[in-house]
Amino acid sequence: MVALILVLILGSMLVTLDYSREVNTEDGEKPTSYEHYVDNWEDVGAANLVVAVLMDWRAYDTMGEAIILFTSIFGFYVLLGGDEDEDVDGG
Amino acid sequence: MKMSTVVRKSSKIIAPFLFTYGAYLIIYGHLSPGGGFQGGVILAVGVVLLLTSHGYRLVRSTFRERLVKMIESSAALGIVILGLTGLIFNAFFYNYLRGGTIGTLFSGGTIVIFNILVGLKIGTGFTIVFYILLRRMERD
Repeated sequence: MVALILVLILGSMLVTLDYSREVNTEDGEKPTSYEHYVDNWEDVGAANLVVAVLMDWRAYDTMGEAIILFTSIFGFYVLLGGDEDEDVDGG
Repeated sequence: MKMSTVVRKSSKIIAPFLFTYGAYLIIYGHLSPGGGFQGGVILAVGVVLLLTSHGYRLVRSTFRERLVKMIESSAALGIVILGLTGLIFNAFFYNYLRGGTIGTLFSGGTIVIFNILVGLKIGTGFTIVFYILLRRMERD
């Protein structure tokens, strides 16, 4: 029951987020992240907007993903790896 | 676990192209569609193609597991070190090598290094996963 309520609350929050790309700068509002990326992506020095977001503004994300992969490989070793000395033909 | 001669020969021809293409996607990732993750996966796919056609033992004697593991771990360490060296100049993951005109290889600064490290990490990481799974399969 509690889980259902939590899911409903989170879902309504995500649905009601402001996804519009319009900027009301005359009202003194700050531009959205979308506008910021599109306007300033030449600062990064990359000619590829996706890479500019992934590797510069969201570099933490990328590092976290790499660390997730590292952790998953760690788990693979712990669960399935086992005998490492199977490297018979020299390593 | 060996496939027929036709499959072995043709996969031997295709695999170098896959490696070259993966390296291109990684190094030119900030200029053209691509990037570290995509290029790294293609590098891993090249190894997996050889694994399916030539079998586990032959591939593992070429791409040594110890070396693959070493590259994987040092790439993970390199990513963190790259972020930490940015701390000296301004902030974590600060792009301190930025320069040049946009559209050239060196305009990305640390993005190029970051892409290469991530690509190596992803490629070797998936290779290790497939090694472990195949070793498990051969044992059973």
